[in-house]
Amino acid sequence: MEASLGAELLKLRKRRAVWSLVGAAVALLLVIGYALPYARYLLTGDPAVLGRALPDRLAVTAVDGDVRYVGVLAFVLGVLSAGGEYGWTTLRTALVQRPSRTSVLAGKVVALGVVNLVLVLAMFAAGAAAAALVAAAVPSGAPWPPPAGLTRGIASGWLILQMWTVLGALAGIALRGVAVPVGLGAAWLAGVETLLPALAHGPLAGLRPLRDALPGANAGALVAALGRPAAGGERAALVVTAYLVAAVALGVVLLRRRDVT
Amino acid sequence: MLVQTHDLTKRYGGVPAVDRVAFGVRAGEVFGVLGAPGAGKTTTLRLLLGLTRPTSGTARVAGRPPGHPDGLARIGALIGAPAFYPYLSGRDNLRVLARYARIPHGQVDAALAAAGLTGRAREPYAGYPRAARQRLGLAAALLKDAELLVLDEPGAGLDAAGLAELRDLLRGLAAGGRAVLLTGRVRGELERACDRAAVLDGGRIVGEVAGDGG
Repeated sequence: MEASLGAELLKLRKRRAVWSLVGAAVALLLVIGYALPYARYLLTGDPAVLGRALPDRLAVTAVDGDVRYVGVLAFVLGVLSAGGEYGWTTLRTALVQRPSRTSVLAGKVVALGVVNLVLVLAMFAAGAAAAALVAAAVPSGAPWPPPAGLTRGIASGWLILQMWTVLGALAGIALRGVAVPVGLGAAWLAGVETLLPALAHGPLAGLRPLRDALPGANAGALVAALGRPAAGGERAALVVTAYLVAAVALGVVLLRRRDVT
Repeated sequence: MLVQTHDLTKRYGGVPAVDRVAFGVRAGEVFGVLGAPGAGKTTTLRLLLGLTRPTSGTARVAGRPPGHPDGLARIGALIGAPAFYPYLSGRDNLRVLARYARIPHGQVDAALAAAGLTGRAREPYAGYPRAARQRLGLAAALLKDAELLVLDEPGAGLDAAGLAELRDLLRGLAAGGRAVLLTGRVRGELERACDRAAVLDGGRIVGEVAGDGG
């Protein structure tokens, strides 16, 4: 697996699209998490609207986007990494070198985990810098979160991003390409993950068990638990982990069983 | 024998792409699988490398079943049109393959030199003309110090000088004790490099020819 990991890390490190996605995620965090609340504060003069932009909420704010917009970017990262091998037909070039199909996928999953760790750390660093600026501009006396809270936030953010990325990789493998999985992923996140909770909350209460099993709903519950430690974060973490493990297992089965053209 | 097949068959929806193919390739020889497009040449090579599973029949390649990592470690291969990462340079593409193959990076520059690509090594693959892409495919096959080279249409895209260079390279490899299994057209430029060849038509071996071995 180490050999495949080295190859995958080299491919990801040299791919401009990967770092564009990381940059886009950090930019979205800064705009949505900090610039917009601060602009609202400047317009209204009400310090309460700053809310999550203050230092004490760093762990939640830096991870909150992972449920939706950064989650979409993480999904695309997975699709690009795995589906691109089919689009360029490079999978066969890799497989005839030596590695087993399982080790190729294992190397890919671990390498994507490294990229996601870099992404989460970048988001926390950017979020901390932005929160420090907001705190300097509008003194509130809000404390910084304790190290344990930051660690929990980083771990939760990584787990959520890795789940979306591996689901994206699975879609790339299952559909053997990039364009269709990206379209389906966007439709899933924008449609099912948004529509089903709205319906379950309103007229179709019978859909609640289904809603509670969605990856996005559990990612959201995990983030919510960062702000309220007794809010059932363990169950959400288990479900997110289960999606991650199931996606890897299904990817291995598909990769091992199907012919490579 | 570095390659031995017995009644190797691959069917797609009941239609045979490769039909009970049997041949062997020894160390020190260049063996050709020749035929028109669609004859089943590439599918045969895919079966031997474990990319495609046979419907029936068996094969042993480099002493192992097709696709076994220990067997693949002894094989250098170019299958179909060369396929590389377009955003990477030729050199970085080979570095990726060297990592997969667990071989020292020092062999990357040697393989690029053997394929005549040293001058383009740092250019992105996306900008390579067809002949340079083919040469990078050959460099990838030469990356390992392989006992068996499996080359699918290795002369595609090469000009007359490149083909002559390739023939010399293949004969040199065979003279050094390596086995070369290649595909090409009947009466194509590379048939002259073969010691023996099987002619494939409709997935079946319909004849054997003795090449002039260079």
